[in-house]
Parts: sequence; C-alpha cells; structure tokens
Amino acid sequence: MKFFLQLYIIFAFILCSCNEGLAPPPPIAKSFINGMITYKNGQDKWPPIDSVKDIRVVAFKNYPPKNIIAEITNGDAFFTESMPKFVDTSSYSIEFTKPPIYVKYLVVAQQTGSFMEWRAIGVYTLSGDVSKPDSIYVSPGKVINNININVDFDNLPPQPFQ
Amino acid sequence: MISNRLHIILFLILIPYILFGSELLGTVVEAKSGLPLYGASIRIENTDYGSFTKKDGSFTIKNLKPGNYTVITTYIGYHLTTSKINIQSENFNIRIELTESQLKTSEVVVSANKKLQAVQDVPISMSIIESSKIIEKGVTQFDEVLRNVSGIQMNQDNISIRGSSGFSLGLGSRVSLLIDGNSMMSGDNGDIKFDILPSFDIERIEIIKGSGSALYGTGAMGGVVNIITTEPTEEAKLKYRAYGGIYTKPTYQQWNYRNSFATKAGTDITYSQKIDNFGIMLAGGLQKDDSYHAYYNSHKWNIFSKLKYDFSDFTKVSLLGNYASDNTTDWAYWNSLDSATLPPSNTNYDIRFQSNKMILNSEIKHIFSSSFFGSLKISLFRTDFQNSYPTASTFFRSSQANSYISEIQLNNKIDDNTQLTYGLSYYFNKVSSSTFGEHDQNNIAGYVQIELTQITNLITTAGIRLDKENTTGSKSNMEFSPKLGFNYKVQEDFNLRASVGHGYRAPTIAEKYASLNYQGLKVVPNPDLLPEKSWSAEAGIHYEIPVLSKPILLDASFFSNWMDNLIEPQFDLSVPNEAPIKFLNITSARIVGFEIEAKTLLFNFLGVQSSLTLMDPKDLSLNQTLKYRSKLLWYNGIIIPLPFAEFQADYRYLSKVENVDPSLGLQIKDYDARVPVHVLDIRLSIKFQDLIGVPFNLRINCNNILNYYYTEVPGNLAKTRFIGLQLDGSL
Repeated sequence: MKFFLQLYIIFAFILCSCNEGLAPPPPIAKSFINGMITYKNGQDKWPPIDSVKDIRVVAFKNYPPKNIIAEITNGDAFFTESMPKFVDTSSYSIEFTKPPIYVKYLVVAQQTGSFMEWRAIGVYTLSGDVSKPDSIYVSPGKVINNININVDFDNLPPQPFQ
Repeated sequence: MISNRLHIILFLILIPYILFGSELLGTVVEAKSGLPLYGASIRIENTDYGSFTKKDGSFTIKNLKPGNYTVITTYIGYHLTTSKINIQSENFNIRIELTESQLKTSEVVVSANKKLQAVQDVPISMSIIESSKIIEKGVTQFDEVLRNVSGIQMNQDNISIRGSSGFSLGLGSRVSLLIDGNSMMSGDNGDIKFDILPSFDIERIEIIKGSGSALYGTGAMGGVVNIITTEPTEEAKLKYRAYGGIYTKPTYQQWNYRNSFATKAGTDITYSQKIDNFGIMLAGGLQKDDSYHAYYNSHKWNIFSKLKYDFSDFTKVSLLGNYASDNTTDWAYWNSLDSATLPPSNTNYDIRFQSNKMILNSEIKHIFSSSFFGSLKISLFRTDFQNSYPTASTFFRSSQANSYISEIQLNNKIDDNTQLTYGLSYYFNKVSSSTFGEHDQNNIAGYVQIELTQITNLITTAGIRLDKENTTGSKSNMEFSPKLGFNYKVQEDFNLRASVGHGYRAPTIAEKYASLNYQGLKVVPNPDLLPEKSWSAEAGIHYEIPVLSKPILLDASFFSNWMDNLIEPQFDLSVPNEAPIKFLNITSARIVGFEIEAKTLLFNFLGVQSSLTLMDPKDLSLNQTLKYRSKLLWYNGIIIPLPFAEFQADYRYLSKVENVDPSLGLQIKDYDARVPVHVLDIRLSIKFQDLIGVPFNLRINCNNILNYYYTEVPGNLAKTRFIGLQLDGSL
C-alpha cells in the first residue's frame, strides 16, 4: 500500500509539472501608428534610381538614434514594410508588438546603398521644423491615425545616423 | 627519400625484435569468495603490455624485461587495484584479489596523458562514460549521452565544457573529438559530425575538462572527448538493437503541425569475432527520424568496421573504417515562437541536404622493449555535403573536405620514476567548397611530456607542444602550448590534483574564407583571423568518504579559464558603407567556477549520482556575461534495481542563459525566447536473461517526460517528449 502511495505521489508530481517552459505568446493588444507620406514636388524630385534601394518608416525609442540596425537589434526601433518608391504620396502603418512605447523620433528612411547605409528624408513634426521632431505615446491596443510626414528632398532633416 | 623512410619504418616495425623476457603469470579472484573473475583487465602501467583474464581467472603477460613494474587491475563493480612487482630473470606469479565496489566502474583512462593510467592519478578533471551506461540509456545519437555529464552544456551541436563554447552554428568547436585517439574534426568547418559516431559500438568515452592542447593541439582549448570503440570479442558474437517511438503531440494548438504522430525508428547490428591473431568487427545501422518539427526529418545509415591483427606479441595492427550518410532537411530556425515547430514562411520545403562522411584510421603499435614502445597512426577523414538547389542558384551550397592525419608517438620509461612521452603529428586539410573556396590547411606539431614519480605519492607531469599551422592565402601561426600538473595521493582513494595548461585553436577554413550573400546580408572572408588562445587552471580532490559506513565517491574542483581572441561572427562596422558580416577576433573572456560530483549507494540498492557546476563566465571585452552560457548546471541520476528489471531516471537543470547575440534579431523572430532548463528522462529496462534465460533486454524510455519546452540555441525548440521502445540483445 505504501509503495502504491509513493508511486501515486511521483506520478502526480510528474503530471503537475508537465508542459511548463516556453509557450506561444498570448495574444497581445497590438498598437499601430498610421499616416500618409507626402513627397514635396512629387515624383520629379526623387533622387536617382540607383540610390533608392529601400524606403521605410522607422519609429525610434531614442533620440537621436546612432544606427538604424543597432537600434532595431536592440529592440529600440520599429519599422514598416518597404514603401513604394517614386510616388507622390503613400500611406504607411507601423505595428508595435510590445506597447506601451514612447516614440521619440519617427522618420521616413531611405536606404542609399548597402545594408548599413540609411538616411532620414522626412521627420514627424507638428511645427514643420524638421530639426525639432515630435514624440508620440503609443498605448496598448491603440491605433493612432493621421500621423503624416512630409518629405522634401531639397530640404532634408539633420542626419542622426553615423 | 620517401622510400628510404618507409624502409626504416618497416624495419622498425616488421623485423622481428626478439626479446627473451620473463612471463608474468597470475590469477584474479574476488577477495571475499575467492572465485575467479572472468574478463578483468590487467595492464602494466606506463607500458603497452596488457591482458584479460580467462574463465578460470588466469592471465599471462609475456616477454617482460627484469625490472620494477606497477600492475593495474580493473573490473566493473570492483575497486581498481595496483600491485608493485619486481621481475627477475624468472617468471613471476601473482594472485590479485579485487574487492567489490558498487560505486566504481572502469577507472583506467588513456586520454589524459596519451598513456594508460588510473583515473585518480591524472592531474586534471575527467569524466568517464562506460558502454553499459550508453546502452542502458538507449542512446541512439551520441550527443544525448553527453547531456548529463558534469560540467557539459550542449548548445545543440556545440559541446561546451565548463563554459568553453557558446553557439557558433557548429563552426570551430573548442572541444576536440577523437575516435580511438584520432582527431575527427571536419576539415572545413572544424565541427563535430555527431551522426558518424558509432553509438552502439562504444567501449567508453573519456572527457578531459580543461585545455588539452599540450598533447592534442588545435581545437582542444576547452577540452577533449575521446571515444574508445569496442574491441573484437574472443568468441563470435552478434549484437543487435531495434528501436522505435513517438514524439507526443505539442500541448499548444499553434505548434501542432501534423495529424499523425511524428516517429523515430532504427536498427543497429554488430558482428564481432577473433580468430587466433585476427579480430574483426562489422556493424551497420539505419535510422529514420520525423523529428518534432516540420521540415526537420532525416534518413541516416552507417557502416562501421574494425580489423585487428597481431603480428606478434610486440606488433599489432588495427584498421577502423566508418561510412555514414544522411539526407536531411535544411532547418535553421523557427518561424516565430508562435509557430515554433515551423520554419520561416519563405522556406522551400523541397530543399534537402545530402551529407556523407568517411573515416579510415590505421594504427600500428610496436613494443621495442618493456620500457620502450610506440605507435604510428595514419587517418583519413572525409566530409562532403550539398543541398538540392541547382548548382547555378545563389542558394546552392556544397563543400568537400579531406583531412589526412598522421602521428607517431613513442613512450619511453627512462627509469622506475621517469616516463617520457613524445611524438610528432601532421594533418593536412584540403577543402573544395562553393562557400569557402579552394583552400588547404596544414599543421605540423611536436610534443614531449615527462612524468616524474621520484617523490613518494606525488606524480608530476610537465609537457609542451609546438604547433605550426598554415592556411593558403593567410599568415602561418606558431603556438607553444605548455602544461604542468600534480597529483598527490594522500591515502588510498584520496587524491589531490592541480594543473595549469595552455590551449589554442587555429581558425578554420570556414571562419577565414566564408563568402556568401544571403537575404541581403553579406558574409566576407577574413584571412587575417588569429588563433584563439587560452590558459586553464584547476585544483581538485578525488575522495571516497565513508559516511555512516556508506562510501560516498566525491570529486570536486575549482577551475579558471582565461580566453583571448575568441572568434565570433560580427557586423564589421569598420568597412565604410557596407558593414558586412565577418568572423572577427573580438572577445576576451574569463570563466571561474566550482564543480562537485558525488555518487553513492543508498539503502544498499539505490544508486544516486549528482553533480553541480557553478560558473561566472565573463566577457571581459564587453564587461558582461558571456553569451549562451548557463551559470549553473545541476545533473542528477538514480538507478533502482528491481527483480528482472532496472529503473533509471536522470534530471538536469540549467539556469537560464543570461545573454544572447541581439543581432540575431535581424534574422530570427523571438530570438531571445529562453527559460531555465528542467528535463527529466526515465527508463525501465526488463532483463529477459534474468527472467527466462533469453539474452535480450526490453527498454521503455521516456525522454523529457515533463514535456518541458525550452531552447538550447536561439530560435530552436529543444527536443520535446519522446516515448520509445528498444529491444537489444546478443547471440
């Protein structure tokens, strides 16, 4: 009888301890920033085709960020899919998987060459002064619309990336 | 010139070197009952002489010159016994009595100092895994057997001994793997090919913890794993094994990728026989594994042979051949933690990898006199793989590497207290690869080691090895690797040890010359890579303590490793406008720690073993914890003998890895998903030999019975629960 009791305790312990460890992440209330990019003077002002490898909108937790790749790998930047090139306007949407997040710097970034070569071509600012970016607080489950950014290839914002 | 050298070697080996020495005649019996012990091993220390007892317990060792010798006798389940003898011109008779010890297995090793000696006499920490443990655990893949060895952390295919290695996609192992003393590291990647190792035909595994470069050269900076394969048996023997089982379904619906159970099944068979002076062993195996991931299945087969011929009592030749082939998928990492059993969504499921490996090892041992003997080893290790993309595709990968290895080793007993071991080794790697290019690498080395026993109960070992490595297209490297060790016998079963040694690892061809573009990332060669270097030191104790009349076998050590120039793949930000990935010498590290291992027998039947390793692995360059290392490893095992059966359980705990490479986030979603490791394996062996007299065993094993989900490397779920049946026996 004692043996069976011990056996029962062991199996009860095993059953209670099962299926621990990693698990799929629970559904989270994702947040989004949506808006429109407007390219001043339309398609005519875009730089040469071979210098426009990629266009993305990137939201940074830190300002000024030093390096896009480093910020992304550290989990301090969020970005869109590739945006359409050589257009007058395009809409964007950034998904935030771990809100709340305080976005201090929201830019349209252009990849000019290799994987590490990026420059800021448009900054989110309420004042219109591209040297003074504005911040956005993104709370869980919130969709923030109409965060529009203007791009003027003749008047690029200060370049934070080294 | 070459012909002359060959003549000299043949002369030394094949011309009869006649000695008219004395014979050592003896019997080995159990101390209590006086009954003879069949199959006990008798070895003359510091020589290549040895024998096994016959059914009546008798043995003979011929042609010993007059002199003083130490006879080491071992038998599983009995205390190791050493006997000092003085042989004159007449034959010498000895009766050896062994006392039972349920704690001890075979306690003789060959790896620590490239010669046979008792394990408690070596100056460095070692672990030994006996063949019986491997078979009883139902191990079908070699890496499974290492997961419960004290101080070892497996990062998928990387062996990390006391924190020596992190995760480097298998490239450039810091632990050297040997088969019967021959290095078996692939010529291109410098990695370990686990699937070639004959898990069904292993006599024992010896693991050196700490730098072994003073004897084994490059790759041994973290330690050495030496697999000793079984010898042909005196009588004809057919050994077989068949196994099969299922991976239980995932707990979470998101991870359930198939309707039926994923299975794993295989079979192994070995024939062995010795006829007069000729011994033969032939083996083969098949395995099919669906795995617990989608797109992670494999089909493998291998053949293994070992031939031995004794030309005389002085000259023995052995030839080992192994060929393994496997066809696998190209799994690298998961899609995300939410779909952890699926590969990234853009994976082409039709792409497979074909990998073939071949080993040919030959060895000639010759005894020149009772105080002078040597061996010559010549080996070929070939690896080749390619994926199934068209050769014109940018995703096509292939590599062929041939490693030609040779070594001559001599052991010379200068006097009763001075033993010299020295040798020369040479290897040549020839690589032809779509990824690494066409490159050659060679390494020539000489080593010498002296062992002194002038002071009573103190064994002092000192050695040095000089390696010169050269890879085409890059600078050559020269490295001195000294070592010094002490072992002091305080009393029977109570030894103190201390050692310090230098380790190094030459960069592999893959690390120097990898060149590819992959999904926007560019990997560029770096021929200027420097060798990794290390110093390791330890002080330890080996003690059998009687507690309440029960012996506890205790082994404890403090250890410290300093490593410099560690090689890791990094974004090279020094290249303007590009920042490619390059293998760079970036890290200096220091690992200090403590390890304790104890085993005992409770209540006269319950075998218990436990080990604890505490480490502080520090990246001195970044002033943070070294990546991919757990700070605490705690391994436990119990054995409960039952009527006609045996129950075993192993539990291992590894603390959560503190630090991983954040740049992996560019490629791998949820790369930082990690937890501490809790894994419980259990098995029940039913011994039909004891039950109905038929020589076979049935095993029911359940690995990871708690179905604990964890990762060993980023983006890869480790093995989930597997329930299997295994049948093995011999005729």
